[in-house]
Amino acid sequence: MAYNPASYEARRRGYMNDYASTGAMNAYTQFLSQQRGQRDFADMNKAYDKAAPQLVASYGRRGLNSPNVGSGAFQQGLQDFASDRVSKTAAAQQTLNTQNSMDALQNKQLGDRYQQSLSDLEAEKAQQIANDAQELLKLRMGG
Amino acid sequence: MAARGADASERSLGIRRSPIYPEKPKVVASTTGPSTTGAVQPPMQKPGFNVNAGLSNQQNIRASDVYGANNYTTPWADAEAKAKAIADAALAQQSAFQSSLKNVGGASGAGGTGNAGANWQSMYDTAQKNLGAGYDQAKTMTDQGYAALQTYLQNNPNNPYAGFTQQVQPVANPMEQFLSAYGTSNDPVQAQVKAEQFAGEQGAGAFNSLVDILSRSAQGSDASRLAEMQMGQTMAGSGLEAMRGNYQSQNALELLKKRLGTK
Repeated sequence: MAYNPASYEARRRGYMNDYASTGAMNAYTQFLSQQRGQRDFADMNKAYDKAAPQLVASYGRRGLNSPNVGSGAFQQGLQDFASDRVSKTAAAQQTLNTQNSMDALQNKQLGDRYQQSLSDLEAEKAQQIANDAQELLKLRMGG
Repeated sequence: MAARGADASERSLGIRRSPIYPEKPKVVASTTGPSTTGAVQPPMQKPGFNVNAGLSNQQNIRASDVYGANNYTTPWADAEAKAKAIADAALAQQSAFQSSLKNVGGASGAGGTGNAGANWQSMYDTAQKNLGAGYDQAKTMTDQGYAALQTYLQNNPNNPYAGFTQQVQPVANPMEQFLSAYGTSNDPVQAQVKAEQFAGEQGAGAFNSLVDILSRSAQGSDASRLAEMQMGQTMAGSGLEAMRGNYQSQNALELLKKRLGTK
């Protein structure tokens, strides 16, 4: 097959369209996923913020907390509550962070495949030109 | 018994001279006395009167004398004509062959300079010139193709993971002020913060190790592609060189065959 730039250009457009459409679809999916993760994270913080005064009140109702009384159970309860919040929110944050990283990695890999395809295409061009040059030399020498 | 001085054809009618060595004019003894001019004298008497008498009186009798000058169609005559034709052809071929041999080596000036040899040399030179031009064209095309590939690869280094790392999100204690407001120590919570921070760093480190492996793989692939391109260019050039050498050998062989007159 003789070198035909049009066929390579058509394939290049195909790679570009595939990269663009897949990238756009990934971007939208990733946006939805991140939006959902951030909302869950925000809801969790809101829930903890709402629960903290109720926790203090519960200890007050039992006489374990007042302006004059600061029991060890109350302090332990608050510390456990804070530690639990730190743990849960850190885990949620890390999950969200990992999800973002994985999305970015997916985009990088998509770009890598796109770039590899274009490089393969360019290499094919050079190889085809070299093959055609040999064929032309054969033709010039009478086959 | 033939007389002395007579050649083989005269002594025996069954033996004929080879046409390669034609019969020379022969001086024969004259029965009419010595020639005053010294010229060759033909037989004086026509045959047909008495063969036996003719042989005995040393007359130079020829086959044509016996069978008639105008009807010389003996079996030997046919064979003779054929043999002569074959011999003539062989001689001509041999002459041409020897002439060809003289022209061998004409390309280097060591041989002859016959017209045929000069034409073959001219054809050979033209073929070599065409080959050289064709090779140059093919080499230029090949080099341009690979130069374009090299330019593309150098302008588009494929390392999509360069600078890509997962950042460790700092873990904070959002209830620090809340606990302090109730006179509660933050130390146990800070221990939890440190533990979560450490876990986050571990996770980010694992992810970055993954990215590092992918990055190295991509860079290795890129380097491999460049090496592959250079190898492809070398192979293409070597292929063209081999083709040129092959065609040069074929041309030289054809020239030699022409000069040797072989096929």
